Amino acid sequence: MATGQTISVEIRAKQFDGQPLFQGLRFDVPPGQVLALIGPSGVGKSTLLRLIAGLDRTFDGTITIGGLPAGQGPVPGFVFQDPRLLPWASALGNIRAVSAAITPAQARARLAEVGLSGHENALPQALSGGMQRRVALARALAVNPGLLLLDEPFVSLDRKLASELALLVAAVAGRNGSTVVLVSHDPEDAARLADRVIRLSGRPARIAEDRSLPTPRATRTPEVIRTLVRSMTEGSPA
Amino acid sequence: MPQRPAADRLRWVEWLSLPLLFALWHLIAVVVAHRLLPTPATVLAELWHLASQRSLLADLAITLSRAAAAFGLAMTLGILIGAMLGRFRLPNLIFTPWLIVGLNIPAIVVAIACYIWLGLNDTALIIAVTINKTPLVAVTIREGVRALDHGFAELAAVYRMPFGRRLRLVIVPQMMPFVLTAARTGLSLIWKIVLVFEVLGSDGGVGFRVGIFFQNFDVPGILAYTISFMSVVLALEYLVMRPLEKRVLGWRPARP
Repeated sequence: MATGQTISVEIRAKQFDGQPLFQGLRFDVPPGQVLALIGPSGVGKSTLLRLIAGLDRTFDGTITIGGLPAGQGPVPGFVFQDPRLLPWASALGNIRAVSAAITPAQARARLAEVGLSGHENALPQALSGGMQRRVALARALAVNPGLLLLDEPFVSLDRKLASELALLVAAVAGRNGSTVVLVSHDPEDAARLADRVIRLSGRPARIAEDRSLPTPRATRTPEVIRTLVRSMTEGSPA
Repeated sequence: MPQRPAADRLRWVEWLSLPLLFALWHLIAVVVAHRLLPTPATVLAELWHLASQRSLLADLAITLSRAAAAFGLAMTLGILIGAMLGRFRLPNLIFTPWLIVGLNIPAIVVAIACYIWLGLNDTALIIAVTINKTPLVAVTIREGVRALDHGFAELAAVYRMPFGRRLRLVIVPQMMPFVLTAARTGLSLIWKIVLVFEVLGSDGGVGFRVGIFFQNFDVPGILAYTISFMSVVLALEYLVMRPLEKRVLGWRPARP
């Protein structure tokens, strides 16, 4: 069973295409917290997620996960913006590919959780875009991550399915005590799933808003979610 | 697995292809009616005669063993060199001109040089064929390595897949179309080169025998050896290459 990991981000400077992207960006995420990073397109949300995952180390500063430099601690679960499924592997094969420790039974269980029972042997090309996203999510959850990094995981899914998967992510994260960082352009994703929201804005990006969402996730009704979304888009307190 | 109904429905057309070629050959031979252009029936009779003498099978075995050795060496070296050049910039800068030289140097020059330096023996022949083929494999594999999907590399990196697992599950499947292309072009090139080199300096094999037939203007003999050799090539294509291709590339979307 994984335990949530503390994330500590301190970026003094990060350039992108020769231009400053981040400057003086600092925040910590305690274990088990679900943090949503929101902000306009191009502000650097996905880049920040890649830095946290250890995929990009070209920056001045330090990012630690559970006290270890990013990319050196336990394996995180990562959902990329595109499903990024291996086209030559079945849905089951894609889940099992990322870790030798994932048994077929575990992979089947993860697929069932995302509503894809019966599609175990389907190649990605035989799945719809939404189904491919769900396989990618199942893959990320299959490693029982202490840290779950989600880059627009619910984009192109219909509202009902997005809501169900958000609940699933919340349930798995809660069960594992996982720390979650969710990048989304959609405040509704944040309102559904997050304990805390950081809104980035500007160039170089800075933290325009950092607030905890007051209501416990489990008790958020559609009305509460709508209120939270309104407050995020209007910048008023919820 | 994806279905390929259109391709499957037309599969029978392919089986008519070779009979059509034989029919065309027969027609031209009948019209020309010259001893230097025998009919397929004459050539098949000659083929049967040569096969019953066992010299044909012995020559085939010699040529195939030479081709197999050169193919194995060229593929191994080409894959290693191509992977290195595709992956690392400095070796690529240093060795690209070598590759260009290797790709364009006349095969016959390499063969003559090897025969002079190493003598008229199998080793010289196999080395000469390998030198001719390796650059083509290396270039194909280099392109394959360059075309590796960066997104999948990131996926493997973020999930910390060990190198062996990454190689088996992420890299090799992407490389297989390039490896198979190199293998297929390699086989077709190696058959031809081996035969030419056998004509040039060898004491056995299909090329050697065709050279003798040439001196006697024995066209049925030449064509009988050609048919026997092409039968082996077609058997390899349909019994090895295609099933292999279907197995490792079956995931790719069907082409119209």
